Amino acid sequence: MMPSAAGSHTEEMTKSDDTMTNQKKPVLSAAPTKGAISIRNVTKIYDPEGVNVMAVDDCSLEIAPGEVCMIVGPSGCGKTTLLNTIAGFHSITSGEIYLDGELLCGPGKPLADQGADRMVVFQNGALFPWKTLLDNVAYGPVVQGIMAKNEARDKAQDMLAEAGLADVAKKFPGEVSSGMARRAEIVRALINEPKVLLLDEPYRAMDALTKSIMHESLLEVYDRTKVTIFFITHDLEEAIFLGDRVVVMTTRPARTKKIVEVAIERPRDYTLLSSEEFRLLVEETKGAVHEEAIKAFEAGERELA
Amino acid sequence: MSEAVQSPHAAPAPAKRSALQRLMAQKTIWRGIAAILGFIVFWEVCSQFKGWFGIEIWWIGKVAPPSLVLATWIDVVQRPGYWESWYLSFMRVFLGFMIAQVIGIPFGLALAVNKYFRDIFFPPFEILRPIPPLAWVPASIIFWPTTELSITFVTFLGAFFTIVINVLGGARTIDIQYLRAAQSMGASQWDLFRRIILPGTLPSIFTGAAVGMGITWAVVLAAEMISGGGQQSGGGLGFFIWSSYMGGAMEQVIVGMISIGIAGYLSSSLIRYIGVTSMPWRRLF
Repeated sequence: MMPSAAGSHTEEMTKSDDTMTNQKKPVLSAAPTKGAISIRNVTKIYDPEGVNVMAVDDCSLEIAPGEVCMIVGPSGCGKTTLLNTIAGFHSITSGEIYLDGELLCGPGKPLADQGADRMVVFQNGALFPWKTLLDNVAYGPVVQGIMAKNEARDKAQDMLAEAGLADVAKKFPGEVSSGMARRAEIVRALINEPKVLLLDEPYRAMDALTKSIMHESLLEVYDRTKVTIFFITHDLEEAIFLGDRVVVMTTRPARTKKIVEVAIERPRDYTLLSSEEFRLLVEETKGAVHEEAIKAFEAGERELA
Repeated sequence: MSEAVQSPHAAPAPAKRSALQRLMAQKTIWRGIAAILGFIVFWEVCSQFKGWFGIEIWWIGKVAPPSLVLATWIDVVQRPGYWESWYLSFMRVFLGFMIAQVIGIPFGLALAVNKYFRDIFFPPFEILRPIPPLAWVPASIIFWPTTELSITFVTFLGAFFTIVINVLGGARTIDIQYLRAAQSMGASQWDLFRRIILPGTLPSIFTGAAVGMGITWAVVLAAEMISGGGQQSGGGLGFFIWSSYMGGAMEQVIVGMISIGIAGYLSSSLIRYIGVTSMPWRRLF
């Protein structure tokens, strides 16, 4: 359940509030025209030891520039596989994926090139533990050779300050809370000015209160940058609260089962959670997800039988 | 006469303590000292039990008491041969260990990152690895022109396999998400190696170094005993123990054993210190 943040006082909350009231000029400019993803009839078959496992089956999805597209579905249905094909971590078996009209992968090129135009925020966090938050954030521009180290560090410092992380910029990831680390990871992605942010259940292991702070932080980032977001989650309330559309995937192999349009105005805040409109959207999504969850459970039972 | 007026609520400023004072304030230090002193007292009482009470305690009753060992040690430290033995053993360990690091770390990393290299070199490595370093002593005495080189070679082998296995294991268990994140951000193969694989493997490198150092000391002493300590005067701590044993000077054998313990402790402390300073992020754990 998504909690109400009202009246809650934590260190994270205080830092977040400070950030919102003392905001500097945004470092990034809004880019609502970039980041259109077109997934066309994509199929992905894994072949571990000769046993074909179809993870994604003839999946098609159009994501508009600047859209927050939330992907929900049963565990193991192929959501992460789909994200990995967009990121260039996994090849596709057939179909095509385009980014702003340019082919990422398709016939003759099953694996998309990896690139800073599609930045991934991973399920378990992937900040480099041997680098401070500042150096983690500065890493991308430095290795791409687009900024000198000092310049990248200055920009990283500014962006961390915007995210309320100025005080912990010189700390290692192991020294900060999971919420701070996750915010820093999103900042690390954003410094590369990606067209698309690919978020794979980034807030999964967080407690409800920290999660609510993360949501506010992400919404603030989105309102500022209008970057296209492809966000995998199991939390339906999170999906409705953050997304423009919620795509419900079928149980494995993944296809789009239902798309729920979230026609709620932005900027959004936590008063939305108690609205009738929000409750109805959650119920609508829950119905579709529940159907697939039962199918996944029954399939699991059959496999064990 | 004026008096400084102090608020009754003002807390006195805490006195700044020196590093030594802070160290001495640690309970773990005192526990360690108490444990060592307790052991020495126990040893002294058990060794002297027959003289004092007429009953010999099994095994430890035959060992020279620490008071006698200390007296022997005071005598031994005045002989240059003792310090030459220290120097020789240290140099052999240092040389063998450093060569093992210089060859072992790149070799382990190459095995980890390059499939073809691994396919070619890992099978022979795995065949050679189970052979105990001391089994190489006869072959190395024949193969190398001097006894000194033979001892260094055997010492090198003692550390090499451990270092390679640790580096290989460490590099291959780096979270794939770090590599993917770095590649997404535009890291080249060289960047991946330099900025991800190398720092990601550092903890395993230091684990391998610590284990390898222990093995190196064990091997160098055995090699010195077997080879007769080389051609240099002193012969090393292993030879010092062996020659003391052959001469029936058991107190001197114990002096040699404690010397090795101290030498091993100093070597491990050095590795730990370098590890802590090279991996500041690991101080958190």
